[in-house]
Amino acid sequence: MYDTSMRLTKDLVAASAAPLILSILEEGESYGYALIQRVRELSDGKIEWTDGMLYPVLHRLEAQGWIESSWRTSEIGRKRKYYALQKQGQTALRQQKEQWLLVHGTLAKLWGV
Amino acid sequence: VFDLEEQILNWRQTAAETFGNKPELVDELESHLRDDVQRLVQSGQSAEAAWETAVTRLGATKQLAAEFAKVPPTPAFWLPARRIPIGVFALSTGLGTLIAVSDLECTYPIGLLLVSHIFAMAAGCVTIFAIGALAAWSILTRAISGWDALQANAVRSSDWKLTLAGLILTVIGFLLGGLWAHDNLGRFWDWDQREVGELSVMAWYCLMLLCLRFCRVGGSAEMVIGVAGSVVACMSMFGASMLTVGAILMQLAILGIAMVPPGRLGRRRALTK
Repeated sequence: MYDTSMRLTKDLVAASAAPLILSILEEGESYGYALIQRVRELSDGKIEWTDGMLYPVLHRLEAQGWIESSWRTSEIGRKRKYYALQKQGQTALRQQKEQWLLVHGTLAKLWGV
Repeated sequence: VFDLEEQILNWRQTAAETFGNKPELVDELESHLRDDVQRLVQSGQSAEAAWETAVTRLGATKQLAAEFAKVPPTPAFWLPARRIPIGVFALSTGLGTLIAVSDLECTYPIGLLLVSHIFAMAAGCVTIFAIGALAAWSILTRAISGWDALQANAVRSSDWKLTLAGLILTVIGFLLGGLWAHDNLGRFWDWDQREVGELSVMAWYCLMLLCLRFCRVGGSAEMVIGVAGSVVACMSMFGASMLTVGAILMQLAILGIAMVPPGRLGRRRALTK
């Protein structure tokens, strides 16, 4: 089984950032801090992002037209920038899923898992 | 005594100096810090320790600024959608006044109904010119430097808003014109040049809406119909005048460029340097 102290390499963390963000936003709109918490929760704390590094990725995805942001007042009365998945982002996510599943399937066959 | 607000203010000052003129970015990162501090305090940390942890987790602002510098800028548009309504309003006012003074002043009394009709129709036509200008710009940009999905989507979004606004204005103008004609001429409708022009403008708007609904985003159809709209508007407003002939020739030249493959003109220019 996996070593509980296992951490992903920097390159893998960077490569998986976009599909993770898009997949979480597919569940519904969200904001930076909540996205980080969700990834931490889903990976049992094994995928650790340097918090600030999430934001350039979000801004890049927005510049690509995959997600859209809007400032709104949160339930605690403070303004937050929310991100929502766009049509182009859904298409990109579909492609990313296919690619990641292809890599996963190929490695699984090789390793007999 | 630890003062969180003072710490945030100091952090904001440093961040503002590092990130330059990007207050929205500083706001977003501040919101993140506040969320993290709140969560850590709720889990039992002191405010001071929570602040230190949150700032460390966020990362050094210089490192962040270097990452943000790699984010491609959103393309700036020659005709930003937000400024188009102001231009449309200003031009419609000018054009409406011109039409009212030149055509109707001596013949009919200028009342609220007539002024509203003229303004709405002028705004509908000017909106077509704005859509045409956006389409012409798209064609030229595509031929010179290529065309990406982000640009195509931005133009499609502007076209939707302008087309819907233009159609609504034209329909309002059309109805007001009918009411005015009924009060002053004893009929709602007649097949005169101006009324046929109004009908053509509405038909063009419907065609554009269909194109925006069913044609491929960033495809030639949207650009070609967008450019052709200016000819319809010219015919509607000025009839078969020299101005219309000039507009048709200009549109034909732009439509010719629409046939050029994306980026071809730019590459040719680069090769001849």
